[in-house]
Amino acid sequence: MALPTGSNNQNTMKNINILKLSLFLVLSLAACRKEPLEVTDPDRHFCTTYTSQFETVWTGIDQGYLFWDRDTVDWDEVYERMHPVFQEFDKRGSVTDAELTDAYQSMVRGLLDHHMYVQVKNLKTGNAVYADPAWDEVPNRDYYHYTFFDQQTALLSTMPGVSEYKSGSNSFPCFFALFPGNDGKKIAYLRFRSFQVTSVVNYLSAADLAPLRAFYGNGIVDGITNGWAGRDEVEAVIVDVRGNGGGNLADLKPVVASLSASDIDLGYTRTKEGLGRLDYSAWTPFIIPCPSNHLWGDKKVIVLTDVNSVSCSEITALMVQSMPNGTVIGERTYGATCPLISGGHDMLYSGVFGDYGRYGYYVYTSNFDVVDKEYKSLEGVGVTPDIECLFDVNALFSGHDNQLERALEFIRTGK
Amino acid sequence: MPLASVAWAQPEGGSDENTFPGNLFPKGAVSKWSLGVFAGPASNHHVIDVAYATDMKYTDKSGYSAGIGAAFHPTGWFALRADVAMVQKNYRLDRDNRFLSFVYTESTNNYLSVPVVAVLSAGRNFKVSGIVGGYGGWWLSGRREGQSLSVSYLITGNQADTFFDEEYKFNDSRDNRFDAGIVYGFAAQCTIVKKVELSAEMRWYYGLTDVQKNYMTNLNPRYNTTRVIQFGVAYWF
Repeated sequence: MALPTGSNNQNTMKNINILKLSLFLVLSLAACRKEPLEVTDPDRHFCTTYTSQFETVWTGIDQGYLFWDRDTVDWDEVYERMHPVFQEFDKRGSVTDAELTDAYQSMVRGLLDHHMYVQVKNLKTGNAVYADPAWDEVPNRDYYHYTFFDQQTALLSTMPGVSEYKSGSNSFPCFFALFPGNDGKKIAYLRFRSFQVTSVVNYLSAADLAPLRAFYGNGIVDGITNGWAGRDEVEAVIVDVRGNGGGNLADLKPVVASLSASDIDLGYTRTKEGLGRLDYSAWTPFIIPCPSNHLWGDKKVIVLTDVNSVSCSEITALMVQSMPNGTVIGERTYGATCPLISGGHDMLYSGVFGDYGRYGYYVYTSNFDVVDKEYKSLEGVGVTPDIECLFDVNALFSGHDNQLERALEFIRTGK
Repeated sequence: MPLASVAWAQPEGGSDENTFPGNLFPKGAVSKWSLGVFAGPASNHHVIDVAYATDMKYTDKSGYSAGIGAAFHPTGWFALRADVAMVQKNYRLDRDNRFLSFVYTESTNNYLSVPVVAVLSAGRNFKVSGIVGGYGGWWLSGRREGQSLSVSYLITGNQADTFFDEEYKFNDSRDNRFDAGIVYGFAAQCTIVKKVELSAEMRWYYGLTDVQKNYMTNLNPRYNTTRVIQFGVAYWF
């Protein structure tokens, strides 16, 4: 049945109004998306105040720091707490280097990244100040000690039964020695101060290269060719990374993986994939292949570590720990297990940022997260040795390197 | 006879209440229900401001949408429709960087969406419709596939060490799995046999919820806008 025309028109208008209202609501809702923020690149920012320095460093760590998924530091609380401190600095006529250092140390205290340090120019004094989160943690370990690299290597040539002793110069401190093993066999020993082998091998003098050549042979960057480490009369090798501050990742294949009978699977790595704290790339396998010239068989491989074994030294310990015939002896390492590439901020938007000379700030920090096959991270913790042997300073000054002696004992006795 | 015209009694004289813009609930009309299924391709646009990370290029990626829907038709020109749909909101991230040109991530994201829309139609045997409404949903699962700069690649220079293909593991601190927004689009329907209607539809899911939780102070939002073309068949009761 048809309704009166007037009623129809009223209903029609009512429905059209409902539709108009609906469309208005929909269009209004469409404007509900949040607007993007103004974001300054923390890698390149001219800072003329203490506050802007702080804000830039805070922002760079906020966006590029690698460990926000598990770090316990409340970074927003740090901003709220420290921002007024730097505003106060800007109002003052003088700010001492100690005050600025304390402020930045307070800012980064507790951060997990043991590679990290912050370098900032004091705008009043013109001096550089530094802050380092690891420095609040590592020296507080009950076994912490300074590096005694020179004193320990000075003992090498005097140890019982040592032969073929070779040392490099200060341009590349490196040491090789053979120690007596079981049944007339030998133990090949190598120690170097930093992982720079692949980058310096073509520039060092023959004398400086002698320890490396004795251990690896003439190839070095091709792994073990005709060096002592590969000879049948050598039953075990020791790579000593005590006091070794790390270096170039490229060394890991020829220098360390050459001691393995197969490719080494350490777990996984990832980096950042955006400016959000939790924007991560996917995990990719962390596999270090053997060079073609590598050790075969069941030769024992020992790594000597201490609390001053850092970065590549710690990866070395992990690599050797993953070998069936590998053993780590010494102390729990520093805890900077996640590598970085300098100048990588433009590519990865994480890691090292700033330029001290140009902008008055610089932050050194990791940009590759590393976890083992169970996704466990050792950043801030370090590698725990299979056989703990703590450094004995009294033994050292009475002519004994107790940690090296423990490694030799393990090879000779199996215990 | 076309479905739209058999479903409701035509009023005698005056305006036709079964055609737009007639009365929404005409006296004497018999409300009808329909049930349908639909499926089709989807294309998602991931909305993000990359700020100074200018070499990060997000591009649209195709996927699919499929689901079932029920509609209540108080008149011939208006229906209220609710669907339960699986909608993929995929995207791809490439790096416009000469050192990282091989790096990319393809993200496949499966959402369960429940859109409730008003459908305004015109026509009889062949109808065209406008669609507007809202939706709520849940980010069910995801997958990441691509190549990433890895430490192994830095050591070996071998790109074989950069591939990944894994189920996406949600981060409870970061990922906002609740999804809501508005839906709009248009459709065409035709009745092929009595009580059976075929449809082709293009609709947009315009997300209003950030795919991230508000977990940090200076967070740039991310949204999804998904265009879906779906073909369906409905049965009228």
